[in-house]
Amino acid sequence: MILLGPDLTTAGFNEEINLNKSKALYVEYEVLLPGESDVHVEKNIFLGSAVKIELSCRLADKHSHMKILQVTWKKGNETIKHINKTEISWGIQLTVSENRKLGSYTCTVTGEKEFSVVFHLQVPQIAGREKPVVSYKGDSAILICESRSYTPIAWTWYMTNGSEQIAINDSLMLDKYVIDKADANVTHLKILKLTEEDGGTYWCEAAFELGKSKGKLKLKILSLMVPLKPFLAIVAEVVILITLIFVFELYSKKKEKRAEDEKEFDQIEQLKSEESNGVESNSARHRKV
Amino acid sequence: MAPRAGPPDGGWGWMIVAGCFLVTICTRAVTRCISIFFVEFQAYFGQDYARTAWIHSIVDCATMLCAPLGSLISNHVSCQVGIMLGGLLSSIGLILSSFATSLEHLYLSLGVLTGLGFALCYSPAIAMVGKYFNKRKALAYGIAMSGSGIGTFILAPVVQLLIEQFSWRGALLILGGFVLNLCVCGALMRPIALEEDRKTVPGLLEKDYVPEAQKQDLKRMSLCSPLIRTWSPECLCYCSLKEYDFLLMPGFMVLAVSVLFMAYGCSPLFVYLVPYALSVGVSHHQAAFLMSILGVIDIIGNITFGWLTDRRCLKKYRYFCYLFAVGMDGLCCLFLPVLQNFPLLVPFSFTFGYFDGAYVTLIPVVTADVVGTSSLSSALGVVYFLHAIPYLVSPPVAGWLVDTTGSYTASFLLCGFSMIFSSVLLCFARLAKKMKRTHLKSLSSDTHSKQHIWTNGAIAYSVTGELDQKDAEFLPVDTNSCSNR
Repeated sequence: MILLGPDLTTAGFNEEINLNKSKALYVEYEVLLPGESDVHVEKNIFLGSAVKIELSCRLADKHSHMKILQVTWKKGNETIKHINKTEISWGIQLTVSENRKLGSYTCTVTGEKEFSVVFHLQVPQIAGREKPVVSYKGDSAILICESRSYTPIAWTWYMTNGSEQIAINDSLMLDKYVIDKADANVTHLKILKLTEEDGGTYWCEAAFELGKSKGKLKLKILSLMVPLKPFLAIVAEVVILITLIFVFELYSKKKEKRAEDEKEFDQIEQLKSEESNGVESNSARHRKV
Repeated sequence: MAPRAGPPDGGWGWMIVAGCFLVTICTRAVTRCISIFFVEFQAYFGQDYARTAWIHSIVDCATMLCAPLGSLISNHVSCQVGIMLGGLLSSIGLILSSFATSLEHLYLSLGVLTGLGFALCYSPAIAMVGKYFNKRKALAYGIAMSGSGIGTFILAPVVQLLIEQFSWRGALLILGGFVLNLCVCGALMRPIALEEDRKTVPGLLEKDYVPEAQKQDLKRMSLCSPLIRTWSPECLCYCSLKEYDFLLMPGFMVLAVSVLFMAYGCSPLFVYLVPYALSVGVSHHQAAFLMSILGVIDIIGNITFGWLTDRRCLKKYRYFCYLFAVGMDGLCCLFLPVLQNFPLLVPFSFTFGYFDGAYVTLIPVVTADVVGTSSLSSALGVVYFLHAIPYLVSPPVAGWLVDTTGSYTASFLLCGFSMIFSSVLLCFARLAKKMKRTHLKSLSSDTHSKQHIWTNGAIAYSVTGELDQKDAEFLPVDTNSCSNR
């Protein structure tokens, strides 16, 4: 399977992804030199299983007329014999079948200027969870690790005790730990009957054909009192507001009643004074409403 | 307390609007934020998305289905008690959910109990706003209904933060406390006795009435008003029948059918906009942005359309503004399958969001115009009840259409036509009414009776020839009144 990018004139990476799950055994990666901003470029390649891989570096068009003095491919200090694919591209072919073969492979092109690219061949990384998983004393917690693009062979869970990492064996402690192995790409660690000591850092390790990779998760145990405090604060606020509103309602009702009573009193007074003055009026008495 | 001549249109009314705004936040916004918990529930209970999503459907459905119950309680007991009871119930539901041990437990506590609590609060609060406002009714409703948009906007990140800090159990507990604020809103809903409550508005205006039946109606309505409480069983039964007699009104029946179709058309769009956008190549960020635009423009539509339809020039045409908003939404839906990239979907979000906010504001206003303020509470209960089944049925049907046809076109076309049908139905009903009126006018013009005065010895009414709801003038002439003193 040859993977080449679409546009060779744009600076930058010129590659296409994929390690197909359907056992594609041959992949190629080609990088254009120089990179976007730097003369030294780095590329991460994740290998889930054994592959035959060809890494190559090619000079960008604008430098294609540069006089080339030397091209070297190295892994660490060890030089690897490369092949000249074209006038301006050079590559190496590797069979990556064991952990030893993983590492950093460098291609250095020396001429008027020196360009280099480093290919980091590594096992797929497992993403842990940055934010801690929160749970309560007596409750249970579920820690999840997944590796969707590459299927691992096995999963192992580790718990940190002080500075040591202890593997969790769910068959030994059935009522405490349950590891769900239903799906090969995902692993669930369920911890029951949580206590304060269960908090801390957990590691989920995925074993691939070419090596192992770890993801980090944090577990935080809280007591029930912690959310109870904001809850009680809100309840107190509600009770205070309701009392205030009802008190205000009673007060305004009383005020209205008092105003009405005063009005009636005034009118009665007026009628009384009119009668006592003996005011005669033929017209209809108008009540001020 | 002596009954007021008309709605205050201000004063304590604004506190009612604030209360209703908070009710909308605590009910609609909290319902929308429940979906944020789904990822946590899925992980904790080990269930798939479909089973967890049932919680949201149950809450929505319970809120709408039990809406008539809410209006019943607030009519017969008191609005304050009804809403405070609702607040307590939903708070208890959320608190119980924080101790859940299984998904079924959540269905009952978070789904049924909380939904029931919300139902007891939602329609009475909205009805109360209608009682306090007349001239500025649509604006008041606009502000009150904007609570769902603003609430979702603010509550979503807050809920996310709560989940991160306290996990879903703690977050549900604190949310339960927050929802207890519904009791505060309940306390704000001071009852108001309007003159209007004593006299029936609806029966009078819908048809050209025979005086005899009118007298009886008035007597009965005055018996059944909450001011006079006679708890004998026959009277109660009788009163509840009378309370729901607006159901037989042709205007209301047309409104009810149109609401069914409108609710059917609008609900799948919120569910399927993001998946559709993703399927045509829009990125996750842009799709989320589309939803945000929808939410924010919804709020703007609420308030501006409310303010607009309160203007004197548009007030008479509120009905048509409502059906215009629904029709525009339907039209947008019809165009959606053609919009295949992000720059085209943005104006869609703007238009759909604006008119969605617009018609949501006008639903209580139009209902009040059709049935009158005294029956508004019960009528709103029925209208929201009619939202429930389409909300429940429509998204799965749309999903099934997407699965069988392989594209979103069929389901969006169905939604669009459903909403356009709803608006066309309303238009035809209004035209039919106008034609009937002109026909009747031509009949009655020979008798020259423009004014009909009925007296039952105590209260006399006069209704001028114009049979339109808003133009009817009541001149209560109380023959036993003050002039004799």
